[in-house]
Amino acid sequence: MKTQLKKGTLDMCVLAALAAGDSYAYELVSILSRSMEVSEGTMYPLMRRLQAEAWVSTYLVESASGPSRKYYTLTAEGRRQLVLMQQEWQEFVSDVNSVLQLAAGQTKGEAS
Amino acid sequence: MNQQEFISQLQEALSRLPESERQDIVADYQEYFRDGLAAGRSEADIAAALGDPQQLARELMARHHMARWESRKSFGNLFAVVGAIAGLGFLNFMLAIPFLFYLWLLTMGALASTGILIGGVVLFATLASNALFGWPGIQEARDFRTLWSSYEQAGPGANIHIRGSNGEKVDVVREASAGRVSVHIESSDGSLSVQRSASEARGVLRSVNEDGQLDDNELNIGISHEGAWIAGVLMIVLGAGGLCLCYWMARWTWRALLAYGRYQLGLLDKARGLDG
Repeated sequence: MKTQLKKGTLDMCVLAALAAGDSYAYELVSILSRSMEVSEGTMYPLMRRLQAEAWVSTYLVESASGPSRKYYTLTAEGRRQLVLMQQEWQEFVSDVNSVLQLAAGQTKGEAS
Repeated sequence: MNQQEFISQLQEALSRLPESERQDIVADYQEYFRDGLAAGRSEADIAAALGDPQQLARELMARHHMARWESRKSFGNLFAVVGAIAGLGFLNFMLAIPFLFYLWLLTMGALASTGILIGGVVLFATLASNALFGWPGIQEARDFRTLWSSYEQAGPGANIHIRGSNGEKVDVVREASAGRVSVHIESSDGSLSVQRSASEARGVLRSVNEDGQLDDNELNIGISHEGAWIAGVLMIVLGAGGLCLCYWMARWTWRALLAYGRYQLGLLDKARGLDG
């Protein structure tokens, strides 16, 4: 369950991270792994999938030291998708929370 | 595994991708190694975190082929998809063999239907054009029949015998009692005879030369005009029906295959472990 849930939400998390500002793969992994566990191996297949969906596009930035670096940026479609995903997520969380509260209330009721 | 090994294994496994796409992927991973090293990690640590390059490449290949298949549905691309999915695991590989056989049958069916359809259309168009504009002229075996009938009408005494100076012979003989008519041509090289028996449509062709003798006892003296029309229409119906069936089956197969491919890639996502 945990894995399934994460797989669906990982896309949203990456889009959200990019909504805060363009970023590159290593930085994205660092940002995400500050608050959640992310497999580094998933990052590139995931970014390619997001690119294929046209939610994300890339551009190269020349660096002073060594070869250029690939930056990812949200497309207009990606922003729309993010809003949609966030709405669904919020609804899901509030649904689950209300069930949990209801269950907790019942348990308390039975106990007293 | 160090960076060098990881990158070269990846490159090797992606060798069938277009050059630009392969370089793009390899550059991604090189960039990742650079960033990781800059952050003070070891090459082995980064390589381990990125996963098995072979498996990574197989997945990238499968995705690539499926994307190409979705943008252009050619048989070449289809076989590439099947091959890529087969490469994802042993069970897939085993399933691919009967599947490829099925695809082959489907292809043959489609080709045969196309041939029959084209034949029918050509036949129909020729007949229609002939009926409407008198072009192209249709060389019917009817000429041959006309020969018989006009000869038959000439009466029993109308046998023809022509003799050449070097022993060449041409005989046209009617045997009224047997209801048989024959043309016999003979020279020093051999002989050719055509014989029509009492039955209307069948004839016998016999050709003899120094190499031997050829008999065709089921000589069909041309199909009738009506027969040709019917054959043309039947071929069109049969060919079109076959093509529709093949097309419908192919569409169904494409969808099933893509769904199966996505499912397999989904399994890979899971198997790789999102928790690291």
